[in-house]
Amino acid sequence: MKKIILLFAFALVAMFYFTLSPKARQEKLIGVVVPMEHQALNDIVRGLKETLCDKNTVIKVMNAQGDATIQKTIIQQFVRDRCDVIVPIGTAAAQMTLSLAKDCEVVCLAADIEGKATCLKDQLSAEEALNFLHAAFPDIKKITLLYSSSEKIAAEIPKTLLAAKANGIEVQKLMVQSHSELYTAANAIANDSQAIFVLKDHLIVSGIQTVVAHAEKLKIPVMTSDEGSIIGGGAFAIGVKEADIGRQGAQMIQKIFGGAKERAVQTMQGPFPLFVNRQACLKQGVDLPALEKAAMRLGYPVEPRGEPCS
Amino acid sequence: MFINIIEQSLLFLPLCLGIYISYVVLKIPDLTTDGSFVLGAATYATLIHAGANPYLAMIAGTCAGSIAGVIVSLLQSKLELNPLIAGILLVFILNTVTLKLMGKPNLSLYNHPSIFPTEGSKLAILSIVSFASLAGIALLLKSRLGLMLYAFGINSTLLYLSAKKSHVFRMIGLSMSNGLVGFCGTLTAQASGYADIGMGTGMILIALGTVIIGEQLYRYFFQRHRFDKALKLFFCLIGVCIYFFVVNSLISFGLDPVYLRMVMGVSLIGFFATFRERTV
Repeated sequence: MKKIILLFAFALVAMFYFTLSPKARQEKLIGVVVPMEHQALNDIVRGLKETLCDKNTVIKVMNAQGDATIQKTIIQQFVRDRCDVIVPIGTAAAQMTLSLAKDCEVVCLAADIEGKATCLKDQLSAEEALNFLHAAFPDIKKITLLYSSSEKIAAEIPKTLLAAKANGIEVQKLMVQSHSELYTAANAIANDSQAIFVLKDHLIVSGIQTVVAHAEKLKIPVMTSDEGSIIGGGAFAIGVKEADIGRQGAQMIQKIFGGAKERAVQTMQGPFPLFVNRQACLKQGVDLPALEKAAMRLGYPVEPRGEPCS
Repeated sequence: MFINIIEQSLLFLPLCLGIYISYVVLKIPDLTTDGSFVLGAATYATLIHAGANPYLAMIAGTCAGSIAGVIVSLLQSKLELNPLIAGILLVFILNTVTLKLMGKPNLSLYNHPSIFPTEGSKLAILSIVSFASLAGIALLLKSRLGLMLYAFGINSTLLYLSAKKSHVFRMIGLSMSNGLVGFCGTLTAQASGYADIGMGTGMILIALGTVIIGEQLYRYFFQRHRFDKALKLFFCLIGVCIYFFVVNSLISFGLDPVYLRMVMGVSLIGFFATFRERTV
């Protein structure tokens, strides 16, 4: 009898629960799928919220904490809530949203998607960064490229090698698969290497201090491709302000609210800033005047990051 | 929401059946699952990109999982490695194998052919596929081979003393278990629209949790039953449904996913405490 009552109570709760349907609403609802906890991702969300802050728009942000099962549940919840636009951040989240939310508007941010989708790519070409490096320091003939096996990066490697070759720079490639390998890889940096180059690579960036420590020992600069790694101790980077990705994404959403039907892949619009950590530059033996002169000559606004020089 | 929960549960069922075979029947803690899940998905995605038929690609993904199972059983029987160590070593190796197989860490399957022709047909197809695998495994466990697999789990020495080759049953069991996990990987890749090198992380913990919920519930409702083998497998499905019901409910109530794992852990403890008096 006890079992039957238990089963009956469970069925009753479940039935009541499933009959709940989303309430009718006046305002626009935007669901943001954040795949994991990361400062860069939080900055993108901040930019999105700043641009879309009006009282007729509700932004619901859910972080999947790096769990694909939770991410899937979040996306399905957004579909059930009848979100006007779902905004996944990152390639894997974008792919999952596109296949689960076929009847919803999807705007993918910081993602590399094939096919017809509204998407904003954040990856700058390595060509631009290496051209700048060559222009600022023409004496550099050999660099070390430190990269991980994570998404997006694999496709960037051949392009980076081609760009280096075009600038007459020899490249030492060092790949790591996990954080634990980063220290070993940093130790393997060739003695004749004149700079370390890091792409917008989450794994390397999250362990940038390990790389910086070795660079300071060798007195060579760490050139990266994002703002966070410069705050973390990298010397300089041509990159995108993460909040700008959110801002540009918000403009794409506003266009969709305005009735735009076109699905297109966009890339971030320049001019991109040159993030410089002056303190780190001094420690890594970077010729600061030459760097800033090159930035001015090539039209990159200099954005100081990290602690000011004492 | 109800359909979402059933859909997620059916998608997850082959993985749970795989874990059921290794953990409950063979009594081997097999960590290869995290690797063979991704291997199945990666094999499927690579073949689809090469223009293969989705059904053939699924068979290939399942076979790839089975091969991983055969290798881990050989590591355990020939090199006499501890099952935990053998599993961890193989997950390490499979990480590189899947990366090389796909050529890059993430392969999109968006707008590629799959066994789900339309969104509406997903639930029906998943039901057929998952219940067919459940029925297949139930029949197999009821057969003489199933009896041998149970015997291996309960007392492999006795099996050896009865002139049976116990390592053969270990190999059959683990290849079936990992084959099912690989099969689940191919289904998940199609449903999620991509295969990713990191998609298997933590899968074994969720699957183990759901299998244990199913086992506990079975013991609470039925002490012994004529169809106990089939019923236990069916209770695996109920365990999966309960897991996804709780996850979906917590997220729809607006709980920040940061707390989700903690809440899940505490509710599992509560679950065990409630049903403990009838457990053997």
